[in-house]
Amino acid sequence: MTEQPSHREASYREASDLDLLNRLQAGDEAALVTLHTRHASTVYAVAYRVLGEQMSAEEVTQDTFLRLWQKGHSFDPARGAFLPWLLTITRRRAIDRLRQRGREIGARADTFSLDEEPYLAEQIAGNEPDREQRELRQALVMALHELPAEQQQALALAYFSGMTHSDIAAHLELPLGTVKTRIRLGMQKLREIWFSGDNPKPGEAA
Amino acid sequence: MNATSPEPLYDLIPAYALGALDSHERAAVEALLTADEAARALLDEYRQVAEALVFAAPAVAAPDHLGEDFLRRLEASRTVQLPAARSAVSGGPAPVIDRPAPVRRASAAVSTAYRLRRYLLPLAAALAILVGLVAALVQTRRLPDDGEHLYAFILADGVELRVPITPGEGQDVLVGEMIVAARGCEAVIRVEHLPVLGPDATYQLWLRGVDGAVASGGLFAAGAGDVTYIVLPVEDGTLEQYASFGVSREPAGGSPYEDQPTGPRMFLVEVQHDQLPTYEGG
Repeated sequence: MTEQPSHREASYREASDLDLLNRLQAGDEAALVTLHTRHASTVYAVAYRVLGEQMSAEEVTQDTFLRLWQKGHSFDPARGAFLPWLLTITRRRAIDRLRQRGREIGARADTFSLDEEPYLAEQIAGNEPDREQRELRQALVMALHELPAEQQQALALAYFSGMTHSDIAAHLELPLGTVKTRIRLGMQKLREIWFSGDNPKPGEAA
Repeated sequence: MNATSPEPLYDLIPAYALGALDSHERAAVEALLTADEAARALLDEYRQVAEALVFAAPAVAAPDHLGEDFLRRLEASRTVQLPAARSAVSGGPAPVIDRPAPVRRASAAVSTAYRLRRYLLPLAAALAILVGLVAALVQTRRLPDDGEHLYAFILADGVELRVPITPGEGQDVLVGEMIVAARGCEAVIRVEHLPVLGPDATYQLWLRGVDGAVASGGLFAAGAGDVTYIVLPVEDGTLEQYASFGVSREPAGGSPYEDQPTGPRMFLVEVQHDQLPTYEGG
């Protein structure tokens, strides 16, 4: 007796990311489409944050999912959740595209400002099954906004514009050592926040 | 500040996790990571933080046509040969995908933008897919398996340069060398005791340019008889453009990143530019 379409659709909708990824690696295109439906808007938001314009962000979004055909089996669940891994790939590909076009920095490239809109940690909180991860991400993002403005600026330029120490120093007309210190202090503070709770360090049991 | 002493290099690990290091800094940290387990553990912590930062991006609304466009690109990708690793899939009935109904315009007048999207984007998508697949193939290609013959050939023809490998931390059992042909256009690494990996892992060659840029040189498996030969991509005398070669252990399919290993560093080979032979061509 064949499975009714509604049951099949439900099985995909209710499947975890890891389950869909396993199905995708077995050649199940419907699993890939389901992952796209589930996460494309989040992937697009990251690509758009880096690139600042719709068409390039769309290209990177679609390319990221198509590359799951080739790279899906390189995801190691022991190293973390699927979505952060996917978004890291997205950010890197978007930065590569930014570099190809000569890195035209957008007007909001050097800020993590939340004044006008929600951020991803808040938006996807309702769909994140791991409560600890959900709360930790939100705590990290809030801690980010409590950092001194100059540290946020340096981190934003490094993280979303792919700038190096020297690039940032030249862009902001600051000494290289100042930029290095701002990035280091900002990341050290965020690391303290991330590992202050029950979040296990690499190699530790959850 | 001494840029090569351990303590300052630890201070660079947070920026390394962000991808913010200049090329010379990155090379120094990579060397530290090869030799220092504590540094690798610290990097793993900062990588978690860096991964979480992505959730600070504003939640921008995605275009409505993203799903429909993706289905078109999938359709277009079926006409392109997929890499061999992806084609080895289990049998069974082809999946049925419920496609959304085509977009129907209320107005009889079709805008230029709609025409572009409907007709030119699929063509652009197919071209983009081809370019992307070629790039993916280059990164994940298997290295040629005739390294033993090339090694023997270079030995017979004349070795101009020998460079011993530097084992990564915990990899002291590895011994080997890179040999460069007298003509300067061929180079092979021979390494002993590289462990044979299971089906879920692979070795990956990394090429570091003199400008600090890192790129994958391809995937390979440990050789038979406890000896592995790795042919280096140095045709046309291009060895001088590289600063070093490294090997890491990665999940099957290689590192998810095109410019960065994620697994244990097995060994490193530094290119000694002042001793390189002059490329004679041919």
